[in-house]
Amino acid sequence: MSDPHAGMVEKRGPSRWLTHAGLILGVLFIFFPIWLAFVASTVSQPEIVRPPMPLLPGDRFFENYRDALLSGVNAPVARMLMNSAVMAVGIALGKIAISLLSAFAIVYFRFPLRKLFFWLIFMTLMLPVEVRIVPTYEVAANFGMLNSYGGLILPLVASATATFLFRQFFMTVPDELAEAARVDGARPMRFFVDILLPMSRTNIAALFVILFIYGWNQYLWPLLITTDPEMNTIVMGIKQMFPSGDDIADWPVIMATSILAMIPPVIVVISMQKLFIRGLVDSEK
Amino acid sequence: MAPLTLSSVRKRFGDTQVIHSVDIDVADGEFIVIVGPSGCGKSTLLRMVAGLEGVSDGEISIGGKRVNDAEPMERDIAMVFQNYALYPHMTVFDNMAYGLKIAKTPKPEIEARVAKAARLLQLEPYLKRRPRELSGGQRQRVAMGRAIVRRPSVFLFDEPLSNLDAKLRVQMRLEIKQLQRKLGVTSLYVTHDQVEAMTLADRMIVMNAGRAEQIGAPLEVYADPETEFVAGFIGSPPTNFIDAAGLGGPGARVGIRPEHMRMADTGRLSGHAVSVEPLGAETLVHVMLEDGTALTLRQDGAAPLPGIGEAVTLDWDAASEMRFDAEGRRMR
Amino acid sequence: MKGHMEKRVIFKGKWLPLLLILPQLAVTAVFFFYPAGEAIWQSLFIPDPFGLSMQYVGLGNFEYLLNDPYYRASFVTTAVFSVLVTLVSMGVALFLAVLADRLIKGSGTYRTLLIWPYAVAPAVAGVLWMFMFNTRVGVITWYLGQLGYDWNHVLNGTEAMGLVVIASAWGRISYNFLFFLAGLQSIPRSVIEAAAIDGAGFWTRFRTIVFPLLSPTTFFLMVVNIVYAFFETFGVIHTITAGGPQQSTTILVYKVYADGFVGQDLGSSAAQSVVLLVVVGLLTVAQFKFIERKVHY
Repeated sequence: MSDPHAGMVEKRGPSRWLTHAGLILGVLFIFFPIWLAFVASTVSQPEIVRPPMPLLPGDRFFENYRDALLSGVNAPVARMLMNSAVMAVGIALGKIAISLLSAFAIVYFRFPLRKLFFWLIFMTLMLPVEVRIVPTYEVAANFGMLNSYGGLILPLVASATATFLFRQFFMTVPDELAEAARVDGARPMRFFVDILLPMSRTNIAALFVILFIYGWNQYLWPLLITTDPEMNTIVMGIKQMFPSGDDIADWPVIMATSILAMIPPVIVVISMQKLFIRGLVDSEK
Repeated sequence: MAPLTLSSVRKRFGDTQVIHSVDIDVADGEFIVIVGPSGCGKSTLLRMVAGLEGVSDGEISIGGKRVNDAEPMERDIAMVFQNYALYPHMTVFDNMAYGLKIAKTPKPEIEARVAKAARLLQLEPYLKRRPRELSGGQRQRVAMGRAIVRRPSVFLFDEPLSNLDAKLRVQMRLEIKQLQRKLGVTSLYVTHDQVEAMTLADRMIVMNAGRAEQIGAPLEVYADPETEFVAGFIGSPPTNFIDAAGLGGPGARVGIRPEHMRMADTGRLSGHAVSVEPLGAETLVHVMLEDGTALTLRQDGAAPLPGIGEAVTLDWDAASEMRFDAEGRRMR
Repeated sequence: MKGHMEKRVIFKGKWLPLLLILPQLAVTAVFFFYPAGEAIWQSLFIPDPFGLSMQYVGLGNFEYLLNDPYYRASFVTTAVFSVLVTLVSMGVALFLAVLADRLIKGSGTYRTLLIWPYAVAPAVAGVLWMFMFNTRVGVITWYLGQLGYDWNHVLNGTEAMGLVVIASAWGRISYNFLFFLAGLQSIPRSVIEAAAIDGAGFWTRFRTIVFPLLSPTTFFLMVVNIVYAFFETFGVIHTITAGGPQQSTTILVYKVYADGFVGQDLGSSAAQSVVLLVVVGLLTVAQFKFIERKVHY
């Protein structure tokens, strides 16, 4: 049989339909919350506050999204989207850049304290931001980084994971390639730019997908570092849209914002599915 | 194009000495092959000439200039690697042109040189392809082309044919030889394959355990090995070795090449035939002596064959005996 | 060749590699080691009521923490929460992966549909679920009410815990699904067919062959999911319950934040950071054991 998956183990008939039914149930469970948010983003506030809300989209799609994007609650969501984009791209590119350089140094050179530096970088695996928030916040504050892109990006840029991924990859690049480049007269940085970087393209792209989502979905750090609504990222900004006290939340706008907050990462994940899965599996190895 | 000299060259990794004082003088335009079993230090020696390994002791000079501390690119050498080491993301053209680009060679000249090399190596139709779209033989040619366009003083070859199948190997061997003749570039070629060594070399160096055991023209080395190792390593099937005690005369061991042994009615040794391999023009007869020593005879394909298990008596001319002392050195 | 894990020394130079590694070292030192050191240092002091000076208390903060019923409760909450999140998200993911693996065609389509939540931030997931279960406008709350069940996670701690667990697990299903599916697809068909020939039914095959062969993936996912539940679910908790009611959903990470930023109790928050450091250390060691094991395979 040509298909390696086909064979006697594959069930036919009713059990196949059960399989599909189970999977469809799973898909519904996954999509129901998203669907509901979408519906809420297309109806009017009164339709929501008088439960039950409708389960099919209404006709206020453009109004609600326009309201959210242009005025929002505290700040226009368009502004928050841009902040998120800057942060996510900044973190992804920053991590990739410093990790490529340090992995290159660690793999292709022998220098004093190499082992020590290696372990220092490695240990940061054990220090998620959430663990050291107060002192990290103080450092950022002392640098005057509150309400700045630098403050949003820099503290999240160091990454042992990316360094390890590139180190693993560089180890698989044949020694002879570097030697051939040396014989060809390439100095280290020339080899790095002309040979190693182009060869790492796929790895870089896969990692970018993962890191973009990581950066986009940050919550606690932007919550601490940005007090000015103009600097809020969209993911943390949603919570800020809820009124304190007993006022009623502006659900259609909040739900439109939630949908807007998931669109960029969803597009990245779905459109680069292959790279994404590869990046995911690689970065956990 | 320049002579290459190694004098008292040694290499240590930590406490282990892997190259013990090697002296070689390579004349301008000469093709030298270093041959030896794996782990004998031949590749290390080549990499030291290339500048990819440091020299612990002694001196390497190219064109009369000491290059011990020079970077590979300053040595005016080019190297062909075992796995070709082609840059996978570059086209054939870019692979060949890379070194010239780094040396800031003017573009028209790069194009002219690459075109010339491509013509010489019949690579013209493939210049826009990437290495993975080429066959093994074509990749090999690109690796050679990359070396040629540099117009170096010395070519270094590190087992360049070992990844090719047998038929292609024979063909590429011829091409390398013709190319080297045509270009007249001093060449140092490392291989573990003695047939390659014999057919390519102007002179060959037989290495064993970090030492150059013998340097000489291939036939000279074959006919007159300096050590027991060389006698055993060069020649296929290998030289037969017999304990000298059983034969009388000086030395510890006696070596006799398979073609010098013959079956005779009366002889100096007796045993029985174990197997027979007819190869057409010649036949190999494997004989087991009473004491368990295995010997091989090479005889004319038309000569009569013994039956398996049949008793045979062996003889040879005294002049073809090679006697070695207990340290494996040839006794004259 | 010596050493398989090291390259032959390729490039010479001491200053260039130091320069190359400098950016990462600098960021690491400034934003990782200095704050971590600071946390350890601060954990040994308490500020006076006016915040003018610090008083050294040794391990006093830790002693206080360990005797603090709220902190101990938070430990239990975290344990319950992470176990539940791990079980629910891995269970659902394994179920779906086994189903998808049985399909000849179409598993790619389901995969595309099921990986969406990976892209949804935990905080956004929190908002989505909070909306469905909102006490005033929530659709599910309303339908539950029609069935006679009065859902109120704002007052009921168990319901609050259930809600944050489901919201956290929901976002994690894609990730686990992808790894389980990859693990299942790497099991050679011949092994399963051999078992089928031996007369083992689907469930027996799964129990005796598939699941044991999947165990490296399962173990790996367990560690990764616990790490997730510990540290990355802050957004879910913060958006849905803010730790309440009565701290019933205050996991350790949330407490560090609440005590440090809301309560301004720096000494205690720092001491909690140090405790978390130890926890992460242990989890990392567990992860390493896994990597080591995988290397031997």
